[in-house]
Amino acid sequence: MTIQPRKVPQPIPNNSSCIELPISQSAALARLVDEVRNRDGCDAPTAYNRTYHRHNR
Amino acid sequence: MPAPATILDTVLLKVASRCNLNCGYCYVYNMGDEAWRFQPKRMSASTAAAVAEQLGEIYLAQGQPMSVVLHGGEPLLLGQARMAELLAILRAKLPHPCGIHVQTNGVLLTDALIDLFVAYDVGISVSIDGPAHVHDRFRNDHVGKGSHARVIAGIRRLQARSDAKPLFAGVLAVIDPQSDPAEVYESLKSTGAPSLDVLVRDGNWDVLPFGKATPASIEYGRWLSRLLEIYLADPAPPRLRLFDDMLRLLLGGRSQKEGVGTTDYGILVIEPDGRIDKNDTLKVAHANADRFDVDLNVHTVRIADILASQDYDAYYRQQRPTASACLSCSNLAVCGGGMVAHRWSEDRSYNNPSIFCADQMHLISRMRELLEAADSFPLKEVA
Repeated sequence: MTIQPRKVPQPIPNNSSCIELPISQSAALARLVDEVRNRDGCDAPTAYNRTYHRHNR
Repeated sequence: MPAPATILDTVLLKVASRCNLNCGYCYVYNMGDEAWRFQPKRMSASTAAAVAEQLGEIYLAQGQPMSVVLHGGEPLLLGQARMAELLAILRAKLPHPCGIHVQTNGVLLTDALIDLFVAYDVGISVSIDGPAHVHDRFRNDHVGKGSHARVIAGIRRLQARSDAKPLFAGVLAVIDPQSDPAEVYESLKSTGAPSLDVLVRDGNWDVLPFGKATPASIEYGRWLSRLLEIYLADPAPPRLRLFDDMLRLLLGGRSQKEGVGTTDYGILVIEPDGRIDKNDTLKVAHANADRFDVDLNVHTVRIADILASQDYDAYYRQQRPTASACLSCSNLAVCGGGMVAHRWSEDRSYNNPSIFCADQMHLISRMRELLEAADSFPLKEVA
């Protein structure tokens, strides 16, 4: 694995009313990283639970 | 265990062939395919029984759960009594962990129907495109009246029920690339849905999607990239299915929906008369693109035999992109070549990249930039 130099997290420009966060503090991203690292690469709920079906409509 | 190519993953059950809305962009009614005219308005009890019987057998034989999505048209046009019969027999044959879902425009959502969905554990996804002025531009009824207020009323009815709260799967929006992504995001989030998803407008290399000037232009790519930035900056985000799938792939995980990544899925459609078709999104390519070579019907054919047929195998393999530009592309593992129908051209059939290729490239590039900037989240090399 190549060690990349540390990059300075950049805030995401945002003109919506959502509170701006630097990308390193992104809640959505942290949630996904946790799933990939700790839950076999996928959110625990599967395509067969209430939340998801595969059909793209 | 059966080979992956013969596992039935998702069945789209067209329980009603008509719709109480007439959305301008609808791929079922307004993209040249008239097959719905020859279908009964609703699925009969005998067809529902035949479907449930066969799916139950396949579930036991394949040893893997499947998902049934009640679809249409508008599935709630089936009516309460027939819906009760259908769900009873479906759930009896397809117990957990099989999923039963309904994709609805929400207008006809009543407490009595919600009672049924609670009783049979049916996930509910509602189609809504954003704020009223965005939604009502295309999602109108048959007299041209916008449906936004009625959809919101349906969602509120659902949310008022504490017993139905776990069933509210999410909202699904079709993108108007001329709209403001921030406004759409906030509007969708304000519905209280735990999960959002967005769809591009349909099109192909011969019929460009609405709002896309040329194959190389990136109207959707820009819109989606802006939405991505808003999503990642939200301190309390709902799920956003498309982005979660793509980002998960970039992080080394797996995707969950068709049209993202390179996993193939066994998807069949069953029409109200019992006819068995390929994925209905193929209608976007050309009329009858979703039909098998011969007429197949649950009353006369075993679905298990279809899954083992050459015709089905060819359809299943069609998910895999064949264009040389895709096969040599570093983003293929993320975009998967997009939806099959979006690759269509009269000259080259499906042997093209997606008509949204430039948009996908733009979006994935932005995802990579943002992930690389988030140094605590190492980016998985995917190719």
